[in-house]
Amino acid sequence: MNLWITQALTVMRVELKRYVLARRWIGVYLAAYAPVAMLLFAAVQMAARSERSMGGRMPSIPDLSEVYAFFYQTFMLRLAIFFSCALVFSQLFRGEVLEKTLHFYLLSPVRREVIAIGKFLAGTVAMALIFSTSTILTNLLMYAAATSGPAFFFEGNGIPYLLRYLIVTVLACTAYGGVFTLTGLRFRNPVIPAIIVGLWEAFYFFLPETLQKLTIMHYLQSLLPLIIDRGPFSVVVDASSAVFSVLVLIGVAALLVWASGKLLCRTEVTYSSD
Amino acid sequence: MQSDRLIVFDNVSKFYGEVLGINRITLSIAPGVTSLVGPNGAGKTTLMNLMTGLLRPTKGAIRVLDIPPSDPERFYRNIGYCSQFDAFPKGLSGYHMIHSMMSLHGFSGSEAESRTWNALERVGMTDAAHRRVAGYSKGMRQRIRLALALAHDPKVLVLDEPLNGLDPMARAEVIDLFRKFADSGMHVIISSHIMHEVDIVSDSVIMLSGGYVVAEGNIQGVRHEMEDHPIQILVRCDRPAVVASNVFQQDSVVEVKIHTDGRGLLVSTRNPDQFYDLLNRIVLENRIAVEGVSPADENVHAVYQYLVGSNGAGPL
Repeated sequence: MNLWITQALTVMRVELKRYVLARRWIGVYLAAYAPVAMLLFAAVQMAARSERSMGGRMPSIPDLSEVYAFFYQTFMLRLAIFFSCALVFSQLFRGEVLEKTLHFYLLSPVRREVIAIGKFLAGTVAMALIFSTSTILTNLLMYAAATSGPAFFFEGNGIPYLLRYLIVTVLACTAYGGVFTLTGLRFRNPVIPAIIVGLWEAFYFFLPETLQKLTIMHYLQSLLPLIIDRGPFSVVVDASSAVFSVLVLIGVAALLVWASGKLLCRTEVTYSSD
Repeated sequence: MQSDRLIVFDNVSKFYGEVLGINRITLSIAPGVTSLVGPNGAGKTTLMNLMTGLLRPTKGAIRVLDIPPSDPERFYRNIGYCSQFDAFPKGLSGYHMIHSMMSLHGFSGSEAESRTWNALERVGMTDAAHRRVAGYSKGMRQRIRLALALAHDPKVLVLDEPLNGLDPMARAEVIDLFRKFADSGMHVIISSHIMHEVDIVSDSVIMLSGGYVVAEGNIQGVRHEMEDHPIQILVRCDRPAVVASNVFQQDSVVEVKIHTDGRGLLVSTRNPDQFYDLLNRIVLENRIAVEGVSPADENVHAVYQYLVGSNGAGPL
């Protein structure tokens, strides 16, 4: 057991070293940090304007919370985190096949399931770190312009809200990571499954209740502090309990990574046919 | 020999869709240097990839030292594979590549480090150890692959064209290394198209053509079993014409050619033992000065040509 943990951590370390500064991650960094840059610019502009007008109307905390909830749920969760996970996790194995380097792992005395876990952990750690910092920074910058911003964080709901956003960010990376680790191994062209899963997850609120509960997004939404209005055609479903949602998301990821390991056991190295 | 010392292929076939890789191969490979010989497409790399678990057989079963490839934790501790795949993970140095693999083998930090340096030293790559693999020449990448295959001291070393990209000096050193491994009881399986080097180093050969094994075993043994091809013997001496005129006393001698330099002759005989007796008599009776007597076609290339002929066309 100890050897498996050491091996999984070694795979994770190697993967992090290989990929974090790789060119293919530029899109991920842009998706994560472009909103930070935009909010920073907006905060500086608002601060300058408030100094000039001295007493002009500043946005209220509830307004900013609504804006941030909309920003997080539409841009961060459904676009940035989802597609970054699709890009990164689909390439964990597919990238190795295309670069003809998968045999290095397959020739090592490591159970295939352990290789899958190590690679999945590397992707999850990297994505969770990148998007957690992005979530923290965007959240802080969103409230920076409000005069009552510090009070909201030190006395109000600021920190509990932020913690829930962070938990959702990490769990989203974990659950979508599991999905795309498997599709990256199963499909030669992982773009098509990514689009199908993307549509399923993005428009989950149009689905009937039973099907909504088969989406990852339902459980992520259940953990968020504020829910945005999705229009008149959405099907409103009661949120699942927080504990159940966390268990479902972790359980789904574990199941998918286990399935990836089993699939890897049957994988052959025939680069020429790929 | 006990099965835990053998590499066993039991009626193994591999098809890529409808394309034949290898067909109905049954082998039992003992320790020592074994060379796989055949032209491109003969099935050498398929055989090696099956032996190392990178491919699964369509039919049949493979066991290496009595361990199936489905048990990777035991299987790969005993196997080192220097494949022909010339790609490396991006961003890693030669040192880091080998060190990571040693960590995956479960060696402690210091043990992994000493094994890494030891392997790099064996292939003469210590100076470039910390450079990124992407900046290495083809020969350097080949050495790193070799170091990766050797570093964990496997009992079975599988080498697909291991001499490619190496300069003559390095080739000689590597061949010497293989010989030492084999002498210490290891399996060294080599595929190489450089025939004379295969000849020097091999204890036995497996000859492949079109996915089938056409012959296997000790090269001299294989050659002697080919009774329809007379054995050629080169005799270097001062008066080849005298020898030539006398050897036809023997029915088993089918052809004699005087060497172009006038200092030897090439005799084709179906009974070499009888020919050597006759040659002794001729030499003594005629006081001929003999420089050397050697078989001219007891080598891998000649045997392969006899066995496969024009059907085996293509670079070996």
